[in-house]
Amino acid sequence: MRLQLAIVVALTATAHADPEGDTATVVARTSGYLDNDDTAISTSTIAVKAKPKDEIVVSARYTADAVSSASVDVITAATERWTELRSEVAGGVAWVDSSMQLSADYIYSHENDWDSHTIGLGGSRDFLNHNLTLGLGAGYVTNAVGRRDDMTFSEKLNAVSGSVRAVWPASKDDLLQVSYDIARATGYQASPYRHAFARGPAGALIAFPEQNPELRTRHAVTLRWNHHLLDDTALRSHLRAYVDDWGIASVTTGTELVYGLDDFELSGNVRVYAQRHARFYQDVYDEPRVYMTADRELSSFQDVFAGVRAAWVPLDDKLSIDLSFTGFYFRFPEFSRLPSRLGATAGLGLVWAL
Amino acid sequence: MIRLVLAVVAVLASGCGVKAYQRGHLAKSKMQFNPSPEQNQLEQHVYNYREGSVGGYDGGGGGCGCN
Repeated sequence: MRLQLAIVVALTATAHADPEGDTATVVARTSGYLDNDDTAISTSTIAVKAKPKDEIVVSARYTADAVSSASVDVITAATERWTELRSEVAGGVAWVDSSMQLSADYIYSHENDWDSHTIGLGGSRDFLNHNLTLGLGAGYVTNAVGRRDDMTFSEKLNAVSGSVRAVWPASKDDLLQVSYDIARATGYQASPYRHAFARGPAGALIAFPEQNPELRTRHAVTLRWNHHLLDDTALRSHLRAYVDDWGIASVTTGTELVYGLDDFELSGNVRVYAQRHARFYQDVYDEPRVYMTADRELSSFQDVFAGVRAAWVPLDDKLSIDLSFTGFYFRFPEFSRLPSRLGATAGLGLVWAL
Repeated sequence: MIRLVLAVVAVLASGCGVKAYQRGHLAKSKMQFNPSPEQNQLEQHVYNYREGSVGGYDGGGGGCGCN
């Protein structure tokens, strides 16, 4: 799963609308996560962007995750509650002019049982009098996977990814983006802690170390539509279709209404996700198989997120302070150990443009 | 699919695209696809750890002559 994060981070572009300074911008964010699977996560990040020259943007970021969990994964692994700190540092440089952008990023992530190095390259260019923007991205990530308190366990996981996208204004009030992403991962893709269960000859459950295929190719096509509604109000919507060669297929859709009022910005959003299981997934296997997983994220399930956000942007847009709250619900009809998950996230952000 | 892409490009190239003076609404920060990258990163972090899918939500932007 950390691989998924790395791929997304590698392909994240630098375009933004937070306050942006003439010489530098400082961003600090913190968020908390809590769910009824006995998991709590605190995430904090600080990022700095600077413009040493008009067309050059350099950036640096540090993110830390503190996780405390006694979820069903932990219970079935017969271990106690665990706590963990993940640290991530990132640096990047971008060249930006009025119609073209090139960027390169590097990310290093470390936790006690996982090390990751990611390289990302991106570029985009406007065509047809800025009526069409085409963008390309590519990433490579290499991971060293370990297991806590087990120096003999050492696995590798590498992945390459690429993306293409097109952005165009469909009218004076509508902006559209369509993108295609592909990622191919090679190596150890199971959890070194989880065990899958199969029924033995007498009907008793027998635990087996999780084993997933070592190759996985993912495809995602995403359509995003931003529509200007009123004077300072916009509706931002998206639809994504995803398939991979493990048999997972999913659809994601969501929309966000953003309303501006003087120095304040209010928004509400809802996001819905539905997924079909990997072809080798079973809640309890009828017999031992080559590939066996206890990962509920590989089962069929649905989830919904709904949230609100309020931002205060004083000082001629040089400062922004925002608060957000999101609630979520997951339904796992194929995972008997956790039929549903209910939780919430809350965040606080500060952006200072110098 | 290729015909659709070519048709879109042909329409844009023919001058039927949005003119520069019509892009006032499109230039607003609320119309950007990734208005807050660090917040987007934290949100995607939650999704990517808890769902079987990944990708498709990179920043994008541009295309409206708003740079």
